[in-house]
Amino acid sequence: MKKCLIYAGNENAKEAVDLIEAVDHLYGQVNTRIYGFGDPKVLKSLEGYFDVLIRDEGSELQKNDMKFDIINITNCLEELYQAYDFDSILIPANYVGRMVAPRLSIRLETGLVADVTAIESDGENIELIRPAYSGKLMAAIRNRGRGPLMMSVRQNVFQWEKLRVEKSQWKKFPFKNIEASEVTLLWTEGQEAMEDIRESEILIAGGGGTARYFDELEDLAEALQGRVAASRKIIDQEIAPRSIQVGQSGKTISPKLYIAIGISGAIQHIEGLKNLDHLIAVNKKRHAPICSIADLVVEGDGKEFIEKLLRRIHRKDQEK
Amino acid sequence: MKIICLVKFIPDVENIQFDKKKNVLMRENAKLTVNPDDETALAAALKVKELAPDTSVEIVTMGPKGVTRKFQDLLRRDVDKGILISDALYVGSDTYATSRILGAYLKTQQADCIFTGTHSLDGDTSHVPAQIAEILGIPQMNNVITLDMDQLLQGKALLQVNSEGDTLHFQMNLPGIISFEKSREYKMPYIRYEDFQRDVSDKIKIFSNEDLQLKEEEVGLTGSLTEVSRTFMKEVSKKDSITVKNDDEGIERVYQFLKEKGYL
Amino acid sequence: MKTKDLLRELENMLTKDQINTDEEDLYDASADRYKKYAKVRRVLDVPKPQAIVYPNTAEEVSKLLKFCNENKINVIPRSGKTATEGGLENWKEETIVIDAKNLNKTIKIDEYNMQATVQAGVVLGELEEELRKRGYTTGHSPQSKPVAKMGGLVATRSIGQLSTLYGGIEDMVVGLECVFPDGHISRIKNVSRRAGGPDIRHIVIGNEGALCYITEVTVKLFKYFPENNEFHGFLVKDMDTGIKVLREVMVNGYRPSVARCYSEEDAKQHFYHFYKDHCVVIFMAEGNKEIAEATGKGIEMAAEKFKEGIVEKVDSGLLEEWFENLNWSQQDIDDEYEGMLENDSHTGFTTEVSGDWETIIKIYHNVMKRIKEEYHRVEDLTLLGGHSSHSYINGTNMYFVYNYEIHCAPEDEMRVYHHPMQRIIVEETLKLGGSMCHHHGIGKFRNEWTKEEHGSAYYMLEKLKESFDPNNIMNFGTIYPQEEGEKYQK
Repeated sequence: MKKCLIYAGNENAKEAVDLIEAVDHLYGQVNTRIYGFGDPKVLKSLEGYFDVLIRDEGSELQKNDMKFDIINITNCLEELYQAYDFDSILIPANYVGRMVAPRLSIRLETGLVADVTAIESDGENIELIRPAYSGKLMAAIRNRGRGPLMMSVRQNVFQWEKLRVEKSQWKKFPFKNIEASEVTLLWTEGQEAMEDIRESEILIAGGGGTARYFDELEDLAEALQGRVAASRKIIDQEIAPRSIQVGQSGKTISPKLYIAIGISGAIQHIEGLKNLDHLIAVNKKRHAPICSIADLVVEGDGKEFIEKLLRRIHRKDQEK
Repeated sequence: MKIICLVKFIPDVENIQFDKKKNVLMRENAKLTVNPDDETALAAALKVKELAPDTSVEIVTMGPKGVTRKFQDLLRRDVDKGILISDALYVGSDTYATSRILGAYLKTQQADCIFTGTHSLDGDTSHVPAQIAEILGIPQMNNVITLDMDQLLQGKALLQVNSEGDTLHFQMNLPGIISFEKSREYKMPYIRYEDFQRDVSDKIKIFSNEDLQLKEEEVGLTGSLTEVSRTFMKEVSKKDSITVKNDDEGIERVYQFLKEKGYL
Repeated sequence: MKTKDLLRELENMLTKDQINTDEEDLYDASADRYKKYAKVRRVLDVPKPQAIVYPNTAEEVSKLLKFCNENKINVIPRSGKTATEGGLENWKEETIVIDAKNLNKTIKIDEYNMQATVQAGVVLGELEEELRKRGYTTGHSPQSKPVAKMGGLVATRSIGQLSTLYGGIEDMVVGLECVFPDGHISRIKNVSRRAGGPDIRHIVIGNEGALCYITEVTVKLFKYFPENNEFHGFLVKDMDTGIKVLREVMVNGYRPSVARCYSEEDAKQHFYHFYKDHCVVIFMAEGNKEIAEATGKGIEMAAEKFKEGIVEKVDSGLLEEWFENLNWSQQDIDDEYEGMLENDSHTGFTTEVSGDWETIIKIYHNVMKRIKEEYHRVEDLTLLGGHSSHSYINGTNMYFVYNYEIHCAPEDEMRVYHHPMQRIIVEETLKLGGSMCHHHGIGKFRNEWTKEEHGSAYYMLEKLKESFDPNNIMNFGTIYPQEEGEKYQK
């Protein structure tokens, strides 16, 4: 039987639950006992997914704001390991996790693999797959340390929805190794509205051809939860501000999805697109250069495209 | 105040070529550059020095002696000292072993503050700064966007950090490790034309294992607790672009595409 | 002369609204597109002119030049401001810029005699537009067409994209009017041809403002048949094949309006959507129907002859699309400035040379080799390529293009990046007997090689300068090397 610890550190319970799929890939048919530890508010939402849920006995942790106390979180995880001798420890690769995991690996003298995106395992030989060189290369890594298998995993890489036990076992643990905190959170500035198109993963960009209906791009952007960008010709006509110009002399962007409407694709514009995952080009001219680098080309009028696509998207929502 | 800045030289990730036959990255001819996050860290350190000229800024890098030329370029910007940690024994070190080596050097120094980048473009694990902090027994924070320099000179580290879109403000005890993320806030000063060839070799010291005295089994491939069993290129599906029209069939195709790829 | 006194003197000759002393305009007037990056970053190292003046007539120009000549004030003749080689850059503390803005009348469009007469301040693009309405064209189509003005186009011996058919500006000019430093106004009349002594138009065409000030120009007209345009394009294995195909078309007597051959990297910029890592050869056949068709056939035959070197034919729809988007606009220029401010990179520096068929390809290979081996910043280059774009029966040009990331202070950009590149290109070209400046003019930044370029014939250029501008007031530093100006060049 394999014992795993999953750290449920921040408010996102789903992040922790999803890691169960990773455990599943690690050990397959072998029986596993999954332990969860972390933010008390989160633990409640893990009921039914985890075998064991651990809370601190003396409520020491609640006294300090544990959320960003990297060293104390590491201390607790180390104590848990010493008590339970886990085969593997999985940590979500969020801001805190990325600082906790490496420290813990030094403590436990074991190998750590960051940002695992896939797992290949036959139960005994386990390879953790992760990207390197800005995603250009994939590496398969093995642990050589004598300690537990350790990995950090980003959100949405794995998914898990099935409940595993009727009732999780709750345990109280007397953490002894809590130190005075070396870091204090002073204040938080909330999520700023993504002013910068460089931050957006989905961009709907309008070119010279969209001048007469440029406003409608916002509707499509909203439906896809993206932002609107523009090529130089639109900026020149003062239909949109320079801050959303994409191109060699505007901003360089790396969105996941780029929908280019009425954009011919001159090199000056294309130079602003680096590493995008998917490109849809909507253009009346099939010879426009941008069509050669698009995944999907829609030959036709941009205004018609937006209206028809929005109708299709909303129709689906209504069907729900 | 003494600031030590850790700097990593990485191959040019944007343009690196992959040898499909041997299944390896062709690193030999790839040009080396300073990891962008680390450059920001050094720029920040130099800014502190600008405010308080008696600040000493030292850069430390680990790598083959071939990085010397680029290393000298960094030193030409008013950096006081450059330490190159290099030894054949260290080749093949994973982040664990690397952290041990750098930690061993840093233990012998009395830095008030250590500046690093948060992640590197090649490995991108962000392990080393946190692991070194663990070895030295000091606090560390990632993704620092700005640092209050006046406060720093008075011994307080007030950090502004980017945590997945939110901006958080922390105070951290010193000595500690401040790990920057690449930002326009701190830019490296230019080397002027007259300075391009200035001899800075007297600022460089090379440290080998003779100086650091680590055991063979603690470093290099032997000392690494992870090993790369194999590498491969990500399956890039050929861009066979599909062309559709603005009719029902075409729009449906677009809709399905968006759904398949997870945008809806 | 002190600025205060200068302005007073100018006010005696012109009205107040013809004199501009706005600080921003003077800063802008101190350099041209050659130092565009330094200008945008506000680190120009050259002095500002004292004033910009806008004469209304050739007589006013005459008064101004006479005055400047007597008082040793440097004069920078200016019209469209699209200069790229430092021709408009100011190297003297005492300088005025004489701008042709008010010399903007179209004097006569003579359809029967196929001539158009315009003043120096007329925008070529506007003249073209007017002519096209009537079914004519000047045939002159430089990329700067929407912005450049006739005076500068003649002064720099400019050339356009369609030159292989229509020729360069020197083939288009009929007569002109210009003013010399002593105030003398020369009017060269419009005749179709004459043997009245040496062709004195050529003292003016290409003088780059170093000998006289052009006030009026008459150019030829051609009939315009855009409906007959034919595009032909090929992907070829290498530049050698491309140049051979160009030569084959030319020596057999065909005159396509566009005849170009791009190296791979250069092709990528323009044709990323179809170049497939190859060199690209492009032709456009233009003119009346029979000629355009015959030219098209001639092109196909040339391609057939070199078919082992040809990878595939290019869809003409793609070429037509590209050609439509080729020219600059004022917006392109403004946008470029903004872009340079935001990002630390330089798009598009060029050095263009010419040679005969045999030599040009050698120059190309020598330059590429030498840059890759010797150029100390080769790592920062994001583009290095070349293209031939103007062909003749006996040779062609080579336009080297290079982009780079700027990793140095803005003040050092030119000496770190462009100058060493330019030096390599000029040296290799002159070594093999080519010309170091096909159509951009010598400006100020190739004047170090003017003597080598002309050899024993430099004597003739020198004498012209001595006769017409003995006080050296005309555009100090342009064409003729000046020791005093060296500090701005290094």
